[in-house]
Amino acid sequence: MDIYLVGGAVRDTLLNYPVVERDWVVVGAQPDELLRQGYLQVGKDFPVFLHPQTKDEYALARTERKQGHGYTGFAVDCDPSITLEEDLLRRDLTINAMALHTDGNIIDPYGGQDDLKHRVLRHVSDAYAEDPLRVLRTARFAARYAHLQFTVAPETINLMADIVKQGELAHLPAERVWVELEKALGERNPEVFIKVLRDCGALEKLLPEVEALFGVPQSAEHHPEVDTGLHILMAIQQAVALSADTDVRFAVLLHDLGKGTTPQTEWPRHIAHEKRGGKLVEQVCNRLRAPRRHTELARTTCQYHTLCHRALELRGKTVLTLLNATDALRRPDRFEAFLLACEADARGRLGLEDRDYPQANYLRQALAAAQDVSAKQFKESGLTGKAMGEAIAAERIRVLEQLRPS
Amino acid sequence: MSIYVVGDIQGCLQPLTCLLENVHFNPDKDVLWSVGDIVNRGPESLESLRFLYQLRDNLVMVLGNHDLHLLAIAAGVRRPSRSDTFDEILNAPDRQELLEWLVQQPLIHHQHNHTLVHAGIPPQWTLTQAIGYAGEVEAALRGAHSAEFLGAMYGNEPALWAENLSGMTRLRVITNYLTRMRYCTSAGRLDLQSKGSSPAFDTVNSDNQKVDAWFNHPERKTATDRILFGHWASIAGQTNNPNAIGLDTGCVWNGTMSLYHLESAKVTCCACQDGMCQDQPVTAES
Repeated sequence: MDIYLVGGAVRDTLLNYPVVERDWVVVGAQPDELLRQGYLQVGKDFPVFLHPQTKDEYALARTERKQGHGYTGFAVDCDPSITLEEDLLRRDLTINAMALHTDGNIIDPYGGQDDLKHRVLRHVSDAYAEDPLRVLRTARFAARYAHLQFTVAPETINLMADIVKQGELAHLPAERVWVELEKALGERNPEVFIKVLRDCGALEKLLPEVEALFGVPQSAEHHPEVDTGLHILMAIQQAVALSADTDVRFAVLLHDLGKGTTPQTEWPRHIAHEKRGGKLVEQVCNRLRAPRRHTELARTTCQYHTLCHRALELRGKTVLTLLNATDALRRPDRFEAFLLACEADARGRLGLEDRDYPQANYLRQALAAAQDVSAKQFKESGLTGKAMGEAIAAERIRVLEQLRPS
Repeated sequence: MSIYVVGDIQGCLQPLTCLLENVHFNPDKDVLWSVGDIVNRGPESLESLRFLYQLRDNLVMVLGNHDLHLLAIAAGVRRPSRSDTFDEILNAPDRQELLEWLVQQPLIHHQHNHTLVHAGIPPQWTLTQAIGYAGEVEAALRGAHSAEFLGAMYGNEPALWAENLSGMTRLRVITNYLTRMRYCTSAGRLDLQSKGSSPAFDTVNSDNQKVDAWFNHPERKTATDRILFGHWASIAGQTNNPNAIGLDTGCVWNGTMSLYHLESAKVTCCACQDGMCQDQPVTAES
């Protein structure tokens, strides 16, 4: 029996990139042999085992054949006669289809090292098409390694486009799509994920509300980049610089969805896009089964980002309305995330990438000032219930009015 | 590296290759700019389009009215007129690839202190405004509503820009300024009827309006910007204004094709007959 390090660990080692997890392939062995050595079997029908100490994954070399639609429909064969090359052939990209023998030799039957050198994400074989999730994975790798100048090979984009055209993405469970999207948002260049999905037609299927933003003009006065889709890509890149949290990046991705439904007769203005966008955000989040944290921040950002941009012009009363509407007093953490998302929106514009965003600090001060006014101060007043609430609100408006820039 | 700017090609590929050979254009280091109208009327529209497409990494082009007309016909929102010569392109096996590339091209390009635009920039717009407004049309062209825009872009109204215009009307007037304008009033009201070859300040058009060539208006906000344009063959490049460089010299109308060298401001011309170069090109100071 031979043991090889495979997949991402080999790729990232050769790239000098931090290795997060190690997967191993075992060739020429029966399940019994591994169980006898103390390995734990992961699934009943799946030939994958966990190492007793390291908990690394060890899989018997296997081949897979597609049965039916989607990503689960596979027939697995893990006969001990299956070779390493056969196992590597079923993998998605050439850079993920290399193995490192415990003796130090690299086994690279499909040109992975060459593609690493030339910074190409290329599919290994037509078997790529058997798992539609690979379309998203490939886009995610493009997002992950964009700063190293990796691009998707044209023939792989074509194959991805074929998979999309055959309607295969419709068979992906929402949860799997969400997992890939969230991982992609966590990468260095999530906007590349969106771009690659767009290049192969997958964005139209997965996030038609985002696809609809491309080709929608905005006024160059506020948006020198003009195209709304382009603005979203630029804003995501700004969000990466501001926050590592995927909820902020997700909120930025969805904040202008309303602009995709602006009647063309109103272009390049987008009257009430915040309101129209709110419904679309709900629609996307329901479809993707996005977690509540992401959904709520995305909805809040969509509905209130323009009000946030105008913070310095707002009267005290309106500032309080904004704080209440965003639930800032009870959820200061989420409000902070909201401010970051709005800042990314303001900076995700051509030539305005380094602009100041004094609105954020002003609203941070406003929140602190509003928080300083509390029920305690009104204990002595004898007020109760609604009257107390009104008195607190009136006092908050008074302090917010004082805070206004002259 | 050199940048060469060619006037309207309109399917006259042979004069273009003749000019490029004459200046020893090297696609590995030189860049070709085109003022648009690369197709229609001339003998080799498809080959011209293919030639520029193959050169795309070393090419900057802006869309002209004929290029937009081709896109509208290809999108099925407009019928070709009898004088259009697009059949060859519409039936080409690589049609999709070519047109998908063409539709991505801008309406204005600004670089190295030069601005490339097909027809011109109206007197009331600054360069920044013009680039922004062009961006609106470019976005619409590239997006899902491309066909709707291409269908709605035809027509001469509104003739005057207003910032509060919206929707297709707004995009139409932007497109008309940038790709069809010759004459306008000093306030920028378009006159798409007048085509005379010797524009002058006291020209009065059929509507009794004082009009002049867009580049002649003294208060023009882009007066100090160096603008390269085509579209107006009848003036044959004579603008009497060093900052308005007209490069349509009517090759398709048995005039000449002009190639402008950006660094030296020299123009190389060749005389054309039926879309073919007739003589050795001649280079002169512009």
